[in-house]
Amino acid sequence: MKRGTSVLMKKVLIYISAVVVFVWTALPLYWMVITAFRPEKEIYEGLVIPREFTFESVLEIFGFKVEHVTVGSALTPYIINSTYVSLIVMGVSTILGMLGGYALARMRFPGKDLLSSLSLFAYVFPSVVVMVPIFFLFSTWKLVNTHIGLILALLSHSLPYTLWMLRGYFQTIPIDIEEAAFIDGCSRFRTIFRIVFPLSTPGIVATATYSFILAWNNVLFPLILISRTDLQVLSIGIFNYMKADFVPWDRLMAASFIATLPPTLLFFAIQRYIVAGLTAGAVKR
Amino acid sequence: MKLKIREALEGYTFSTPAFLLLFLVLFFPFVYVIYISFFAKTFGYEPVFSGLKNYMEIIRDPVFKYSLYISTLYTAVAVTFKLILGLAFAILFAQEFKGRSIVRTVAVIPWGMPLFVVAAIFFWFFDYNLGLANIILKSILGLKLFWLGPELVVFSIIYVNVWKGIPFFMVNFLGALQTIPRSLYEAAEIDGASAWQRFRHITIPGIKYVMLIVCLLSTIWTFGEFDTIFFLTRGGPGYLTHILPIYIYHQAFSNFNIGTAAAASVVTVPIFLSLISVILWALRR
Repeated sequence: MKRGTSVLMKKVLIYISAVVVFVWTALPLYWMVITAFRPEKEIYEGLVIPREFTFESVLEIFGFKVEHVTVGSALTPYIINSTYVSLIVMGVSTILGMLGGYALARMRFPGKDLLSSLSLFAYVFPSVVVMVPIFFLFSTWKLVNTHIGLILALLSHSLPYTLWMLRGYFQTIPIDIEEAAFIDGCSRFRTIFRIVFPLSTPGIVATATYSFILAWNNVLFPLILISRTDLQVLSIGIFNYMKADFVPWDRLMAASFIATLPPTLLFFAIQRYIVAGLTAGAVKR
Repeated sequence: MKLKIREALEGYTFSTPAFLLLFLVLFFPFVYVIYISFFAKTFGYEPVFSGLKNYMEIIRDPVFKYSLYISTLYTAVAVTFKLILGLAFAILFAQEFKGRSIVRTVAVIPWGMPLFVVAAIFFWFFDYNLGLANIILKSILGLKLFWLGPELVVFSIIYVNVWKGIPFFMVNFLGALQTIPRSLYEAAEIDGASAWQRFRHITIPGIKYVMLIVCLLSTIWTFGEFDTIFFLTRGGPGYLTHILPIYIYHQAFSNFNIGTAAAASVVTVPIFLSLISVILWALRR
């Protein structure tokens, strides 16, 4: 009997905790979603449950406006810039990270351990430390207010990440496979491009995806490097809404919702690899 | 011998593009910020060597002292809460209950979200007149709070950081918990160990290296985090949330004092370096 009640107590406790966890996490998210999809006038009534559903705010973000004209407030250029810049950062950091990561994982050369540690240091180091010199150097190099400058700055964060992650990933590919190919007369380059990289596709895709997310989510570099509206990215577009005297809450939340979707969905697709990545060395298997 | 040289050459060929780029956008700026911290420098003027003057200036600056204090307080409190709640969440999700996978998916969402979106959502959630936090408070307790006002702002930014940061702890802990053999718990239960004793002597030792690495990474990233606080408060009201990254930003881009901004950046370096060294040690162990 006593054991029966304690099991029941435990069950009740678990379900109460689960509800608390759910509400704690979901409440701010719920508030974003309903604000993004309710008519603007409803926002000022202070109702927790929406009465009407509308795509108006989302359409407005993309520049289609129904009633009053809102030229210049559309975020479409920001979204395009964010996508384009993040894709290039992803491409460059993945290709260079694959080559460098493989060298750090498998090839023997003096200074390798130093470079490995450097890439971890570089990844973990917060960008604020180099914010001032990057702005200052980039202005002398005429890279301020250019996408090239922004891409280069973002690479300072993404590239160390891809290097460190892919190094770890290539180390998990059994070395026997490479040696077998090598003995069969396959050259080093052939082995790498025909065997190692194809075998590592899941890890490479996950790492590339995360480097896209890192670039998309960045605030610091577009903030200090880009002041021209036509070159600006989505994160700063959202900041501009927040800075306004009268914050357009419906559009701010619609833009937030749109800005959240790509990184969050991508994150869930690759979560398994991300989690295994950083603490891999610390988990005994 | 010849083979060794050839392999070293291949290693350098593979890693040079990545590290050359990193040199340009990260290592060189990093050295440059140390160099420029010894110069008096404002925008548009040639730097003049000034020895330790910038350092003396920031040490005498009460705002800098306050920044160090508030950054440390913010980081310590936020990481402590993330550790405790992250562990609690992980233990909850290690149990079996109906709807576990849905609740867990929701609980992980904040990890995948961009910081700037989290800032926007809580800007709205904490709004005095129309935010959900005050709507709920009003209906339960009949009062409204200035969440981003002077009394509560530090609490609120910690709340936001904890909300966003828990899943990183939770997911890593959950992975580590699964590596602890079930038989250990069963044996302990047979020997009459209480739930607390099992937690203290099996769970904690089983995940202590993951705990160490996760806590250190989170400490570094919380200390260096700029995005959410800048978007939510821009360092205000007054100087209340002037954490170190915001101090650096304001020195450089509001006061145009590159020298002191550089000195303040350099001050953070030993803090980060020592924390990262412990991570490297824990990963190599």
